[in-house]
Amino acid sequence: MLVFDELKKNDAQLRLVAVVLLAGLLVLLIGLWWVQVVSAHEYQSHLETQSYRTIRLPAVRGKILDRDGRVLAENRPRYNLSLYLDDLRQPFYSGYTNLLKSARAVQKQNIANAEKKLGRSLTKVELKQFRLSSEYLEQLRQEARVRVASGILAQVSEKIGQPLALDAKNFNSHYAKKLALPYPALKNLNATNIARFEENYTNRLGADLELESVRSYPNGTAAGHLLGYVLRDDEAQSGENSYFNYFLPDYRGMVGVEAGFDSELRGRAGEESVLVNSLGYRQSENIGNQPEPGHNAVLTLDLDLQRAAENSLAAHRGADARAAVVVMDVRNGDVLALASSPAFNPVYSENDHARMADGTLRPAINRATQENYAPGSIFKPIVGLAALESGLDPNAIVDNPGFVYVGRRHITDLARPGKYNFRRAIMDSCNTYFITVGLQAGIDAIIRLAGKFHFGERAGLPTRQETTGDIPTRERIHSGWRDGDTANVCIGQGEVAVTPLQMAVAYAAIANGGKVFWPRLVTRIEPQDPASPEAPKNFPAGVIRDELGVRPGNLKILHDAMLAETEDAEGTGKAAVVPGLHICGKTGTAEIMDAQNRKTGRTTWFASFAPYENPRYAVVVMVENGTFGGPTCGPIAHDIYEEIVNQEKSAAGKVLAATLN
Amino acid sequence: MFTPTPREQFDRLQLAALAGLMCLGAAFVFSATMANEYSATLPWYSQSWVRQIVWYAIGIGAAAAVCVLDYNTLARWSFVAYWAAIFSLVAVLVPFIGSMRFGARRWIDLGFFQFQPSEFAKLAFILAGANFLSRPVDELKLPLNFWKGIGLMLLPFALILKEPDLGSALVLLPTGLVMMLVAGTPRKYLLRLAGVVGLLAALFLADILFAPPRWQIPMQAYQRNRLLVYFGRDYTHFASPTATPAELQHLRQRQLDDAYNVRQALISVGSGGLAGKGWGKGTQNALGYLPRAVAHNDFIFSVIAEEE
Repeated sequence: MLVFDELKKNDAQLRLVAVVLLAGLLVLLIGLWWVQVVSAHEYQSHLETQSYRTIRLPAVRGKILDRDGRVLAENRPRYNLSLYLDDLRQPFYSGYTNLLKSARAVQKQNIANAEKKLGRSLTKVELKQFRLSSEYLEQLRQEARVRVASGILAQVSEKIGQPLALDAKNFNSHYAKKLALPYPALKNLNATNIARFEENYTNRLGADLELESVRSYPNGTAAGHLLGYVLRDDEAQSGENSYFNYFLPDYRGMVGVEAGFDSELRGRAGEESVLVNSLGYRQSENIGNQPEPGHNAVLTLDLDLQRAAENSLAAHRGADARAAVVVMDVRNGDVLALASSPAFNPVYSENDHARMADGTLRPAINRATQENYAPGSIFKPIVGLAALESGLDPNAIVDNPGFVYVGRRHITDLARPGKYNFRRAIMDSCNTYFITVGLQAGIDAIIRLAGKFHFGERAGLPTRQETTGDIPTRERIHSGWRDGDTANVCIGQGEVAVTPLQMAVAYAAIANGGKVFWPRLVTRIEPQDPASPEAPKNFPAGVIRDELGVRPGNLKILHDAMLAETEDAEGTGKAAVVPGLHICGKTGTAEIMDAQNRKTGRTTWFASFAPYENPRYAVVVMVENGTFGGPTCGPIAHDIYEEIVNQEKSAAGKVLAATLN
Repeated sequence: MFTPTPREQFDRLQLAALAGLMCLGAAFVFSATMANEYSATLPWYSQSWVRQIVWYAIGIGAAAAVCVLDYNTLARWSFVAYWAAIFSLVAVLVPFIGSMRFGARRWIDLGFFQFQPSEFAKLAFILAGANFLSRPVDELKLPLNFWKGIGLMLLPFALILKEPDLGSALVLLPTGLVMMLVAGTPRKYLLRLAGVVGLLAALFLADILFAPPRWQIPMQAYQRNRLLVYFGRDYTHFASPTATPAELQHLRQRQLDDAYNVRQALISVGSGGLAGKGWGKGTQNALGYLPRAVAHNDFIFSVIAEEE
């Protein structure tokens, strides 16, 4: 009785019917083939777009550690109380049916009232106005959801003993736009609340704790400028899917190490796809790409020294001090401390906005690297070295009458009138002496040496907080250059400007026998997981940028003179002295002029290195608007050297502790 | 005519095909309803797939009864069945007998049992038509008999159309015409008839799809919409020339809504591909994209196509 059998029979009509039926079946088969084979991909992608939601999973940002592995920046878990909407579907629905019941009762009552009034039953057209509109029903659904959610929050609120209210507007918009994600009802629960919730809210209906990671800086403002800050980043990174239904942002480093090593710290975001049902509720999830955690950045910084520097600035100059400290290992250029005041909180939102906007305080800039300062007398050792290299006899005497004329220009000299050799000139910071020997050596020699120190150039810090400073170029000193300009350079004023970090590099070079290093801030970038097979990326220490090429004897003369600065009875840097440590230093005080050539203040300095016998540390202290380099900056340097001495003393203990660990 | 031996009355191949279809049917009704949390919690005897098997049993029983009965007996009762069906078709149009569902009166609810008279009318029409057309070819050539045959068909057609249930009504036309053809009604009659019907259908469709609103045949909005969706006509085509963008947007949205079931069914069939996703693994049904209430009957083909 199959269709084919009819074809064999000699019955024209049946044969016709059979042919038509077969043709019809063929058409259907072709249609099926078209949909299931030819267009299958298209329909599959339709299926995916309507039933999958992609969620971006941010990676765990890498930590920032100091040279001993102490944490400077990390991620703190934050617990949010979230409502899991997919678990609440049933309560939502029954809440809605209850509301609907009462709405229907009201509707019936209204109709009955109207009929009573008219004394007849209503016509179809009249009944229409009593119909519950779909907008009204949607409103009921919404109301039911808000009631259910509020009810759950009230329960939780009772359990954790903290008042909680549902923001209905926020909740509704979350429901409309992010149904597949849990609704965060209370952010950042404290430990007590978490404990109470875990203990008391046992039925777990619809509410649970959700973990979120927030950037945290356990040492408060310590090294805040260097660390920089991060902000939530709402843009997808390159190499990621460009479109997510739900974009969970990660952090973007805006400045400092957070910015300089942003891509290393950030890692790679992962991707989760959530299967949703026809109403948009979460059905199941499946992680496509696991997020790859970011790498840790290990700095050269020594947290203890950093703290000592910051505390000392605050103790001597107060919280509003505009000052900077750089401590550098002279043997390899490692930055051990880099402090800037006023303090900056790496949690950006915790900074005082009025203070941040203050044009004088400017807490956001890193004064150690980001601001040009006139070096004043701490530039004299460089001028002196240039003069010695040009054949100056350190014992030759220059007479200081208390002032010096360059051309017709009168420059006062704060050093007492008298006879000065190299040592006494450094010790008393004699302007007359350095202007005289500087002019003898010539500006060419000074600029040539300054070029070897790489003044006027960036050191390539990864913090994005660098300025070049200023030094006259060769072109500049050969066009319209006068002796008066040279005289200014000789005493670290005029067309010379430096950053505290540049001075630290320079003093480190003077200390270590002439090696100008690239300052190093980061020792390595390493995987967060110590068991990871990935090798850390090391930044080599002690990369030499330039050699001064000066005679060791001349450096020795300079070291001796700088030692006298802190240890001789006449020295201006005595305030820095720490028992048991020989410090070579130079104080500096630069007058700051405004555009009208009026004195507006002084930039005071103490630049130094120690120990004299075998230099290891360079310490540069700069205070804006101080009185004099010695009394203003000396005590700050003293505190830092004290910390260094204490560290050296306990170093043996530390080594022991490390081996025990 | 030939006289079949009892053995020849059963076509094993057809029976096997039927049994296979029944097994497939039950399996996919099971799959379609198990995905629905509500129906999965029903007791076993209320489950759709069990009911399906019960209906199989009843159907097999009825089929056996019809086979055993002499066809002459069937022929005698055929007109009784036909008029009974016509009676029930009239009855269903009476407001307190036929129950209203989705804007149409198609069901008679006897409390313990609900049925659509149009389903019985189809069978009764086939029986009555077969009985009427079983006459010598010479008699079929008479115009009166031709018009009687047409009347036999048009009476239930008109009544079912009135419910309204266009789909069920339309089934009667090709059935009747094919029966007349096979019975030996002269071709010229049928060709003319087919020509007239075809012309009417073409005019009707052209009117629905292309005519401006004033020239439209009055009909139920959903029927019109179904035709528009099926033929892929744009709703905005029928908007008044002064329609605002918001109104046009509203029309487009309505078209998307009206086409929802068709789209979801196509996505089910298409995304299954040739191999399918496996029994019970179709997501379109499980996630509720196919309308839940009717996934196990009206949309069973989509479920089967997606999963196997």
